[in-house]
Amino acid sequence: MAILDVTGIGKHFVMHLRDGIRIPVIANLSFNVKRGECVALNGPSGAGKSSVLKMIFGTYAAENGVIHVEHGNDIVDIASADPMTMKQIRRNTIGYVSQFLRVVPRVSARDLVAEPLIATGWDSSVATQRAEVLLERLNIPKALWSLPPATFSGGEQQRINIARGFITEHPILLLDEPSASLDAQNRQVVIDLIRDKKQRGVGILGIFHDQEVRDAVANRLVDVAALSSKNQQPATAAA
Amino acid sequence: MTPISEEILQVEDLNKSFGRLAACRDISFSLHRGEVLGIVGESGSGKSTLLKCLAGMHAPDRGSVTISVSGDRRSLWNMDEAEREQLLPSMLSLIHQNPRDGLRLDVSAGGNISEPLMTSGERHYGSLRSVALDWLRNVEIDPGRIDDLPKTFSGGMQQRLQIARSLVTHPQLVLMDEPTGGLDVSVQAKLLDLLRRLVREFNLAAVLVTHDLGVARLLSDRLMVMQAGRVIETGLTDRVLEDPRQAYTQLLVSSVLQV
Repeated sequence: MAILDVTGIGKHFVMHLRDGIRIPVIANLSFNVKRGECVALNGPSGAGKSSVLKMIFGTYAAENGVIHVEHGNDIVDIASADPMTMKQIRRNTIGYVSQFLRVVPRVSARDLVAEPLIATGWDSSVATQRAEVLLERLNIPKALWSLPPATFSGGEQQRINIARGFITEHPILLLDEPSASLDAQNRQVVIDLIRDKKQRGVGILGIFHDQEVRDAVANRLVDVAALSSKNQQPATAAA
Repeated sequence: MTPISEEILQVEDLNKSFGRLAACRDISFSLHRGEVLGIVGESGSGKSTLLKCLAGMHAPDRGSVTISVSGDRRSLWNMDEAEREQLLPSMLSLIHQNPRDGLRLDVSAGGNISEPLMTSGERHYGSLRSVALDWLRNVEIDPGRIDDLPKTFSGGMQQRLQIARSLVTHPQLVLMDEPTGGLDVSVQAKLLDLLRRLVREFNLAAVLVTHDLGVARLLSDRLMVMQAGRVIETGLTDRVLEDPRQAYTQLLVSSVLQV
């Protein structure tokens, strides 16, 4: 049984400030993710893999198609969900590790990691303990836990972001290049964390440029074809 | 699954003109407990007028503002002025851009915090003072300053004192008008952190008017983009900022400097 079922989704951007130029991103893409499996989105850079994750997380609107997700006891279509429902889905059902950490001024790494768990109703001291376990596992030096991550290195920020995504019990996890700026040791930690999630029945949809990581975790690949490469405008659509 | 939370504010078909200038046109939206709605748009887009209609300061020409007060739904502009003035403090709190508009400058910091409590019936001096001390700590003002006048405070401290005064009665609805406007960036960060924490701690329903998209992104769950008195785009904050549909929203988003 799939917990995420995507049917015929399509996406384009209309750039009003550039004479209404239409930039196609995704057309008629269908796939599903089952409990306990990891599906990797595959395709060249610019094919729209990150856009697919953003459509499922609700950051991008889907122009066509249906995105069915098991949310509690309901099946909800994310493509047509209202903001209140989407907010609930993010809190309880779909976790997302983006490519870059969004730092919050004055909030420590430890609190930033604990936050999503507290939002789902966990006691803050338990959530903080769990955050510390994850930070330790991801080899973040203890001295950094109480500091805001704004000044951390790229790899450290990425690991904070991973901890933030993995701390909750969301049944679906979206991963956008979780191992991009990590060394071999931490890459292995991420592989282990993904395997743990799969064993607990979490369905994972990810983008893994690193073939070693992809081979280690992915059960299946879904090809995202590059649309209209001559129409691609660097950075505009993604900005 | 968490049930959808209680609706705190409902605005229906609100219109307000000044002479021939339509400041707010056909505005409808609702706000639930625990939800922060950001309103963005350039000067003159009508966002401040809208906030004043919600705060009981400007009567709309048409439309309704319904606010839930401990389960009772009250129509703000469908009661007489005396009743509105009496009920307003229990319905909402307004945090002004300029703290001097929300504080009593000739009253001590502690007095500024305890006054709204006294208005709502609390008289016991000892408990008033201890609540004031708690709130000073909560907004990171040295409790030793409790007897000082706010005019001896810095701008950032005044703003934090205004926030304490606004939240001490535990209002369900908080309206914020550019709460970080006019403050140094480092002072802003402290204030944003405070607002972010308080909004969660008290599960507040809040309307935040700002022209700063960074502030809106940090604090709001949803965004409403206003232009020429109308709401032209609305949705989850990250959706509006990362996948804007309207030409004006695209202009707004693309105009932000990246640091």
